[in-house]
Amino acid sequence: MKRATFWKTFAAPVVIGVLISAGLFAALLGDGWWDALAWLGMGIAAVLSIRGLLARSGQEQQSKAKIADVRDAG
Amino acid sequence: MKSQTVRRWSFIHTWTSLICTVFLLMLALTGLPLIFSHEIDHALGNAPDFKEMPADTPHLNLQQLVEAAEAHRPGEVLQYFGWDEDDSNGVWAIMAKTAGTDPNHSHSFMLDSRTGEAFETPSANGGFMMVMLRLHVDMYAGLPGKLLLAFMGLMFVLAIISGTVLYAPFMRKLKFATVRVDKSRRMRWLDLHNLIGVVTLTWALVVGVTGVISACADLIIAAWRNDSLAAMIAPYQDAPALTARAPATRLLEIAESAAPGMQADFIAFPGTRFSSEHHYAVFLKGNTHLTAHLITPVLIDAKTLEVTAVVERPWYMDALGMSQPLHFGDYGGMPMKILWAVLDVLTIVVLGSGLYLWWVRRRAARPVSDVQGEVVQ
Repeated sequence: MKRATFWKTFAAPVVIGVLISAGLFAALLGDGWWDALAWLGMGIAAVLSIRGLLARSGQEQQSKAKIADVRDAG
Repeated sequence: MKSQTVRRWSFIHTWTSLICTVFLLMLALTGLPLIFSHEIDHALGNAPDFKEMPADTPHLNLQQLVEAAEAHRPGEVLQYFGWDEDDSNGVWAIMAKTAGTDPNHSHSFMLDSRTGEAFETPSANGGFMMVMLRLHVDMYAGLPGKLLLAFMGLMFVLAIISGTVLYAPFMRKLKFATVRVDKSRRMRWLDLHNLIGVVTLTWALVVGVTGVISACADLIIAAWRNDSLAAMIAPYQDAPALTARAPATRLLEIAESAAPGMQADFIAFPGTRFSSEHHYAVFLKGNTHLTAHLITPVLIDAKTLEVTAVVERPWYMDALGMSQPLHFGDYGGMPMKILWAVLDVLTIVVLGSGLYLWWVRRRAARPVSDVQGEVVQ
């Protein structure tokens, strides 16, 4: 896979993965603020998943995607 | 990626997943209440209600606690004392017919370390949460059950890795987090499977790998006994059987002076899996957040109370120690527990949607192979 394609596909997952793994490790070192990074990383994963599950066949979503496509093409 | 390569990874992903899905579903379902076992125990009234006493009330010494425990369960012997993490006045006692009894047949209860009063803790010995725990740990099948689950964990890890490889060709033309809801049901669940799978990837890998390590705990502990413990207790091989052990009164002071800067986690009485026939073993833990998961045993001659050895901790015991918090998710406060549960449920969604996608594709593929069959004829 070309490097550019790789990063286009994996940039977001890698960021989330790094947040979660750094967070799970940091939380081992202390309590309170040390735990916050893990909450953030896992929280982002949870929110993105739930948003995906809740997405319904609304035209709204569809048209948004189309607009985004057009923008990308432009 | 060549279509041949995709097909190979797809084959790996399909089969590793299919092999482990049923077990992983069971593990995810039983694991869900286990995340909150502490809260559930408190809510169900299984946590002992210690008397309010002035904060500086002195604690009984260990021998007095031993006697209190023995008076509570006459005819049984002590296997372990463990210190409670939440209540500094609580000491866990585990007793059984003999010191060598399998822990699944032991009886656990709590002692108030100021008064020696015994409190029964039903959920530590049976009931719903214990059923969840046994299903999750060994499916009531002992070591073979644990090893089977360890194998399923490995399949799960392979499924995650192959799934990540396959994520690339599927998502090449799609923006991250796209869910195509208007095409077909299959398309929607394919996108959801990819999305949820990839965002929970790291967490699932951590929980999967640490689960496999924990499932191998029996083997790891046995290796530790052979490597480190055996050499230290070798001189005792021909010693006559222990008839009377010296009182436990000063065990903690003795252990803590042998390994300064650490604190007691649990004591294994002579004859258990964690000690020897001739030794008390006091397990000390580090006093920082990180080292609190790493334990160092101090072997104390049960007759003379002399320190035989501070047992070195091989790397694999450290790995086992560190695996536990990372598998349980109990080290980052309530928000972490809730997120652990959410990601657990999302893993169930990934497993279920994976099964659905396999089923739909298989049904769709059937006519094609029928056609091929006809062509051959």
